[in-house]
Amino acid sequence: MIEVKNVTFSYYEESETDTKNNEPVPVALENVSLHISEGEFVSIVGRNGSGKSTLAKLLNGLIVPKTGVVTVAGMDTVNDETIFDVRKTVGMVFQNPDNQIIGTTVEEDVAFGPENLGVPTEEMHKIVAEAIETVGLTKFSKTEPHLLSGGQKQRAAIAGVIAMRPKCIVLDESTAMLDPIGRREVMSVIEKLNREEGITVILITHHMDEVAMTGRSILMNDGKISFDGTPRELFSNTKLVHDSGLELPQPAYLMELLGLDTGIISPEEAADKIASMLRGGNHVS
Amino acid sequence: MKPAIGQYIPGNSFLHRTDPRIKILMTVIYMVAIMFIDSFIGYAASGAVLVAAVIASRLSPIYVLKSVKPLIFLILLTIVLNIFFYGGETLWAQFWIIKIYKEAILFSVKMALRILILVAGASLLTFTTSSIALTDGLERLMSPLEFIHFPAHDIAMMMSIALRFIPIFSDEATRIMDAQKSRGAEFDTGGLIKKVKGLVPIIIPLIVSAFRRAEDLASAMEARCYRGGKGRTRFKVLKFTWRDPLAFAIITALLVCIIVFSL
Repeated sequence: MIEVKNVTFSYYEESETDTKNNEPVPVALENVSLHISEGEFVSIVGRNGSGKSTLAKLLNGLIVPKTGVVTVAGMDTVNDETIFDVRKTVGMVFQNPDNQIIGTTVEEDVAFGPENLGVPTEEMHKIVAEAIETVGLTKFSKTEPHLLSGGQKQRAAIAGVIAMRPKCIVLDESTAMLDPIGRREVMSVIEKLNREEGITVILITHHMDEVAMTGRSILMNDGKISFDGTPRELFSNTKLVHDSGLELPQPAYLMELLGLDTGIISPEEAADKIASMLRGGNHVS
Repeated sequence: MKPAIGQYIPGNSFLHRTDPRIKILMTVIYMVAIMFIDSFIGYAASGAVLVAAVIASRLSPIYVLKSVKPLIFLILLTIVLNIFFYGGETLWAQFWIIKIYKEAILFSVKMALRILILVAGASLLTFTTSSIALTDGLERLMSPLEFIHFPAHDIAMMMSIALRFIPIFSDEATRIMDAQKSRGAEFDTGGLIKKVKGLVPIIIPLIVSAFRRAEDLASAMEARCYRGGKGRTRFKVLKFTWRDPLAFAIITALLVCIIVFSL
């Protein structure tokens, strides 16, 4: 559904090349290629400045590649005529909950997208109510956003995106500013959207337990993709994980301390593994 | 957070439920009328209109009076200045070189009444109209001007975003002040100049953060397909009810009477 082909991006113009010391223009992304199919739940990880957010912004045409092509459902993001269809297809939730809520109440904010798309008023009321219900904020639909908790604000932002009926949602570190409860609320909403509505989710995050919930994990290093596979495979490679400035999810960390396979990333599996080993030990003694 | 003129007080009265467009128009007409009025009968009549409106809003009159409170100093100053410097013919009193004329006193009392009625009338609008309804109403009222390329939609969007960010910035200002205080900054000691200087380390970070927020907000709006007012539908549609023509007719009739009688 999303196709990224040989994309290079820089926040500087070629002409801005440092004339003083002749350094090359810093590049945010270098020759990145990527294919994301419909219904996938993908996490993108990497240290700060590795190009994760740049990649996210390329996916809905907020920025366009210097070289290479990004296509969403067959539409090139460079094409001005289809750019709004691209943005309607790939919704985006940002990091700071306060800076992305436009409306003065939750329902008005959720209605912002449909208003821009020219959805008729009656239909809009239905869509907005549904979107708010999906994220579990029906009680708060007339509340002013600054009275909500961080998790509620991000859920409102997600509702604002799903009211546009997207096929894909990109979350750019949307859980980074939340407390553990807020994070759990947001993650359960995202998981539900992916599982029940079949919406493709691309989750950019620093939290490894969130990565463990996804089906595919992409690791970015210095503007390049250095790993693309399942989270299990990613965390099995402890050297790569540590070299990229990441941590292991807690169950995997425990496995590492025990000298076992760090590909075990869910608490249940870790418990089973330890239990079976203990049982095995009992047999011997 | 202390609002400037009057904060919206939720309610369900006749005035609350009147269409914001009508209320804005009424307030404008009312203000213009007061500018024309130049007699005490006229002021009494417009005062009566105001009282009737307060009753129709079911607000406590104390709220409305409180809205005038911040202006007391300004009103007193107007009175004093006018008494001393507005000339006249009938001399009432003289101290040394200061002469007080009858006309001056009458004029300054009229000025004071004018300011009082104006402010009370305007705050009644903000008391009974939520900021959302207010910007909505303004946008609709200004929309005919779009034919001459007047950016009505953009102005309304800016206003509603500004209103939306007021609580965020006031929180942020408190946070920055706390941060500076915890590092030994003093805001409430020293003379006026020192106090003003003390504000600089609050205002600069606030402005920087405002720019960062603006950039984020712009991306968020773009990501949600914002492209100005063209082809946009509305979530909330303003509809006239029986109240609106009624309110409009009553107030217009009253004001015409006031102007005619007071000329």
